[in-house]
Amino acid sequence: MGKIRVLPENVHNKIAAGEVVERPASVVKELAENAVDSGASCVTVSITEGGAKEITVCDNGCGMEPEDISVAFLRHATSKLQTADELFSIKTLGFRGEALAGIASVSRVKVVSKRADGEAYGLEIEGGNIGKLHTDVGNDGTTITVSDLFYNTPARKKFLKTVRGETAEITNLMSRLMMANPNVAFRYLIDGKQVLRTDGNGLDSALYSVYGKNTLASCMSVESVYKSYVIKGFIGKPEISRGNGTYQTLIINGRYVVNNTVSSAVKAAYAPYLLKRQYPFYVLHLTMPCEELDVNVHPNKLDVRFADRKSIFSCFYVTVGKLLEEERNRVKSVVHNSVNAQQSIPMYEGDGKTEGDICIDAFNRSAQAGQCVDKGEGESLDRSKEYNCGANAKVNIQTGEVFFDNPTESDTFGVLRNPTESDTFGALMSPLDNEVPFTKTTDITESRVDYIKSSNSYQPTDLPFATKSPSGRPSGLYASVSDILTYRYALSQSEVDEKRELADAKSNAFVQESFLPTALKYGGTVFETYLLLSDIANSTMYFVDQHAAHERILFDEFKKQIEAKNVATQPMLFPYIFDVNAQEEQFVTDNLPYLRECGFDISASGEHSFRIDGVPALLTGINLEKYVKQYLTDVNVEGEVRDVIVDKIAKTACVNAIKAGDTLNQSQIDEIMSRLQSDINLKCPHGRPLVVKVSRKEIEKWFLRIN
Amino acid sequence: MALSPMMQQYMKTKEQYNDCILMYRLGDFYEMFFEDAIEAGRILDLVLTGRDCGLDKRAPMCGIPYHAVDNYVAKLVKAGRKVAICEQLTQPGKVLVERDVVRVITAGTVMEDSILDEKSNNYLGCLYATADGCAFSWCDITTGEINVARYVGEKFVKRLQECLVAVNPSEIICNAKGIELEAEIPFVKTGGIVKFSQFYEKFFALSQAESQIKEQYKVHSVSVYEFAAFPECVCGVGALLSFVAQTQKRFLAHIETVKFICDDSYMSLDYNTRRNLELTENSRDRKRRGSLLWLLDKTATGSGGRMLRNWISHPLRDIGEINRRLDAVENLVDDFLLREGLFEAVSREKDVERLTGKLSYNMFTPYDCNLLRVSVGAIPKIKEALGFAKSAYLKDLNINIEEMSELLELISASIKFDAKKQVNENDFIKEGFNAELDKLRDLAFNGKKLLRELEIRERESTGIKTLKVGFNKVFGYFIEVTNSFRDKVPESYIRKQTLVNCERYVTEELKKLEEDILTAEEKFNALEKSLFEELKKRLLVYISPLQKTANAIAQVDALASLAKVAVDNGYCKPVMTEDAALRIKNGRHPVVEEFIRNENYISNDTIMDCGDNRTCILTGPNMAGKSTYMRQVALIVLMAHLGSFVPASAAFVPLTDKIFTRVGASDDLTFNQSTFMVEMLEAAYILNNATKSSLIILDELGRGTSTSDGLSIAQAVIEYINSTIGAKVIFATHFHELNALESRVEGIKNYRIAVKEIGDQIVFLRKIERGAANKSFGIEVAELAGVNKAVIIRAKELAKSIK
Repeated sequence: MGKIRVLPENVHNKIAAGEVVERPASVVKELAENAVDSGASCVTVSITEGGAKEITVCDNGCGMEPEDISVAFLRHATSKLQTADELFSIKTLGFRGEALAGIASVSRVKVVSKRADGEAYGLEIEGGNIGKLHTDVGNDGTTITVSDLFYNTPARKKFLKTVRGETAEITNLMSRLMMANPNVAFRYLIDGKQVLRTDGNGLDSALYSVYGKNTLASCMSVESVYKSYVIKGFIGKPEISRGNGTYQTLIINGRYVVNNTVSSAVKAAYAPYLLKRQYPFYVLHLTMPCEELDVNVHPNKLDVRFADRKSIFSCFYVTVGKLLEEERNRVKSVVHNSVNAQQSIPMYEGDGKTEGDICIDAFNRSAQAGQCVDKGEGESLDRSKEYNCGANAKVNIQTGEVFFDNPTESDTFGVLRNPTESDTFGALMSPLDNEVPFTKTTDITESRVDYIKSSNSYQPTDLPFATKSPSGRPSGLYASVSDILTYRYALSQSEVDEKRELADAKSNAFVQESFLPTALKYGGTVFETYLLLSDIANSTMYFVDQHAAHERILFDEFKKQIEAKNVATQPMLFPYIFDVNAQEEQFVTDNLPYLRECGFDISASGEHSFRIDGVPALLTGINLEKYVKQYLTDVNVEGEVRDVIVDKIAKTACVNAIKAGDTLNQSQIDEIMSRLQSDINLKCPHGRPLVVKVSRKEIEKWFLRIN
Repeated sequence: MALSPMMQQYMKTKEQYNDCILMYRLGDFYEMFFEDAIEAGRILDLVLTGRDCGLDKRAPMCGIPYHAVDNYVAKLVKAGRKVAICEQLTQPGKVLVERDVVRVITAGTVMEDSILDEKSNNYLGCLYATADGCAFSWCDITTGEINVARYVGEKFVKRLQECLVAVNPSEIICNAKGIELEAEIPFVKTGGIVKFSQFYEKFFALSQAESQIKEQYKVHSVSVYEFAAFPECVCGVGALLSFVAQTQKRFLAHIETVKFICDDSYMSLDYNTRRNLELTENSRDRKRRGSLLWLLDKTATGSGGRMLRNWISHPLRDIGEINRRLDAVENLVDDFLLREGLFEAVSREKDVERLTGKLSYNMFTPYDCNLLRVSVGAIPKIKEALGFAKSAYLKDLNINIEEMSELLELISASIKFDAKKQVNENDFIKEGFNAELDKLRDLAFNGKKLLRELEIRERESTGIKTLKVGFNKVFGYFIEVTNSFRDKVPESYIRKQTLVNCERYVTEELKKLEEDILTAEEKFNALEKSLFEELKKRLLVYISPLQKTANAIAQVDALASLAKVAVDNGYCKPVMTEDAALRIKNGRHPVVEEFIRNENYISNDTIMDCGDNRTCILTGPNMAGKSTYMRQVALIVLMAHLGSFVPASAAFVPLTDKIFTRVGASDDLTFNQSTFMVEMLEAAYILNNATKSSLIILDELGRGTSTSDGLSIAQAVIEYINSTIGAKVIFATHFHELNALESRVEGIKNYRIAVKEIGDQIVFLRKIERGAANKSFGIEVAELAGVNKAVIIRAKELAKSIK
């Protein structure tokens, strides 16, 4: 008697179910995806006791023919494809024909379905035994109720988490589904109570329902095309980053997936703006040709494979990166304006930007989506009117008076005429942009007013990055007009001086929040790492991480040279030779052109070893042993793009170029200072901050001088 | 023995207010005497004591502390009594304190928050009846709203009754003729409408009424008002205003212009319809939950809630107005940012309507002042949000909302932000507002500091290092110097007391300071009060723009609430038509659907018109959903007329002038009348009042009498409505004989509730389909209910034999 037997159907169904039906959340996923596939505009999901007791998914889609209802629960039965070729052009979420069979074999299922042109029919299935079809009560569409999950597999049942745990898992899934299908109205009930609801009115409405108003306000809209990939969605500003990766949602062709390539691409794009353990927020829809996508990879369809991984990586890295950089430049230009007002250094020399561009840049500042200077499209600023600008502020362009609201939590709410108090200052800044420098002006002198009147009017027309929400409102935000005025202020040096004197004389409330190293007093170095600088006038001090600063400077310089293809290589007296294994050898060989681009004179030297004959001139002090070691740790990462690789090379090199404990001499410090005329948020290439500000008040608190 | 002077004073006052319970202020208490005491003691559960009044026996007395008066007044008013509050008008001194009644509180004139329901108006109604007609005016003195309507001609009593039901005033005053009329209004007997109370005839006289109106609105002639064309209206409004003036004893500046309600501005819904459709109360326990109002009310403010309640009670009839509201709701449904932004902004508004009432009433406290400040402060945000609106209605509302920034400044500059809620508020004016006040405040609260300073000064000037300033009850503040320094004491010191080891002196300065400090607090309070009075006077100017703004904000709130519900529950925009066809696709009952959220509500289509489909005869078993279906149709039509989206996937709703329902869902309508009689009364009312554009819902007419009589009546009614009236009617019945009418009479169609028999079981499919039901399944339903098996079997046998 042979020992190997073909398993009876109900047994192998149960086994297969093991893969597909891990827990209640998987059931919800399969059923909800089927509901979406049926063309429903409205899907209701209701669970009891974490889904272990009951899960009901009800949709108003096309419904099933009575004959199909029982067939659907057979294994390998699906309406969604017929030939294998279709697998590569699959447009529905479900296609395997596995889910329903699996679910039915480990629970009690009741189906009621009605097509628009027919009657409602119902069917019960218990543990894989299909009952008899009968007429039933129902609306157009399908309702499936799954009760007593795993009632016949007690082992599996024991592995279920607590009710709260399972519920949390399902809630997580529901929020992804809602964002993956923004044109479907979802309803999600836990134990009879409605917990989440979307109205199917687009992605921003779905985001609003799931994550709330503040998150939506701190997101930037994405819409871009890269080769044949279309990316749409929202990415969160670095300020709303989180401590874990659960706030990242990727949807490919309408399916929620978790994919490493994409998540690492986005993470890389965010790297200069986030610290090590921070993860960005994003909800991104990727639409791509289905031929390039293999969805049949993971039993839960939770992951996919790309035909062209590298392109996908670039696509995301470039799109997200560009957006973040535009954002940073916008912020930076605000600061530049204020800096230049005092420094009278002409801005954007040779930048090729027109005056209009600069105005536009200065005119943009992101705070809360949906608020804007109330001027309407295409209208130019009317100097005699008052405009809303920024969070809770209004400005009269003529006189330059800025009126602030002070929306604190309690009922203290007032309109103040003279914003000299420090809390109105805080009120203008949205709570997220604490550290973004901002210029505040109070009264404007007569001559300034005249000056404005006499200068040519500019027309900020189309704003870059002012995408529209469905209600037709632009969703960027514009800076306070005082920024523009400050910019104006900077155009001519003599006028700058004159006005500055007048303004200073008029009121000394010309507070500035930018980081201006040369205007500060140097107070020494601590631990041979941190420079102390003090700003006496404003009672603040700054710690500058000199290594990070140095690294930043080096990196920027280095990158500039690389981009300009102008890297000088310093030949070495003695070449540096290192050995590698087979894998590493392949890796280094692949990357030879990039290394050379960066100024390393590197070549193979025999079996399994390489030699370096020259290093970038900028990094003469580089510790090659350390550098190569660090560089080789990346050996398993593949599919990266040139930009990323070069970046990495540069970063690693710079790190190793600075010797810890090296003190900088005065001229080097000065150099750092003069170069660091940027926003206080600038970070080292690895994402660590360069400058930390401490106010005098804070210090006094340490000494209990203030309560 | 004669009555003591105080009791004489009491008796004199009591004579004037014989019909009220007189609360007489004696010191810190409000006291009631004689019969008042006995009655109040019973109602309020107070201890009855006695008081010497100069007569032989002690006068019965009971009292309440002055700060708890609101609660007790509320209880008395709820018990149906009027309360007169008599206050002390002068300060206590040698002579008898002057006292007089400052206010009479009746059910229709309460101002206290504790008694009022935030989300509904409290109307005082006044009926002026003549031989052939009447005028009914009603006013909510907490918000200032005042309306008048006129009913003349045939059947005016019925129409008046409808209005009374819709408005639901908590008190009705009338003239003598009005009392006669009361007998003709059945709902007064059954408790649906409050009993009338007669008011002095003289106030209903035309000339008196006119002068009252002129006085209230400060006009020279009443002819500026629309309603003045009708003398009954003038009399009614005048009397109402007189009543308010008489009882409140003060001028109420916030009473708005009288709104003249035309007879056909609103859809006609009689009392039964309102109850059967559960518009504002559910039919079981008369509470809010389960009513249409409960479902639709997601408003953020009290005034919004009242506005919505009014909209539900008064569905519109003008297609332009309805579409205006529908467009505004649509705008809010489509634009979620606008909707959420508005909700957030509007929720900061703190019932400005009632605040203006309080201001005008002089019940305005600093706490209320802050509420007003917060509310006005929220206006810019509301206007900002409304700036993004696209619908004409919302844009208009935006124009009506005024910013009133000077008002805001005024209050911000004067009242502290954290003024507390007590009635006798102290220390609520901001610092820096009034220099003298600040000085007084300093003195009053920082007296000690000043004394310390004086002490230091004296020490320095005299050189006595151990000089101290002390206090005792006999001498007040003094300067204490130990004996060793006695010779250093300057001339200006006046010796007051000698002790063993020290001497105590006072100086002019010290005494003055002492007096200042001790009187400062008094002066401070007095000055604060007067400053506040001044502030209130200045605020009075703003009453009119405040009311206008509050009204607009309330409308915004109500519209946003309708939009929110529409989005949450998946409603669609109804298309209002002027032809007669009613078409609903996948209609659902909004409230039932909400209650069975977990399961699926089975939707149904409806097709009716004034031609082939005007009469729908609906048969089928009980519990199958007939009543729910019929109510669903009526509710959808009603919701469309109030400007809300409807629970359906598509709906074409014709303009309907009245909705009638005869649904025997609850039986506490009976009051001395049999069920059948009540049914016939209702049927008569319907037949007498329905028109071609009405919608009629009849649930099982003809029960309660013999089968043949009932059947005959039912058929006659159907035929009459079908041929003579021509209204749309859904008639649910168990008389299967009526199904034969479809083939004989045009315009009648049979429908049934689908029921499937699977062996012994019956499954209610809850679907409406064409055709007659062949069985009633009465016995099966009885079996489902759990009736004894033996009875069921016997019944089945008998049924077979009857067939």
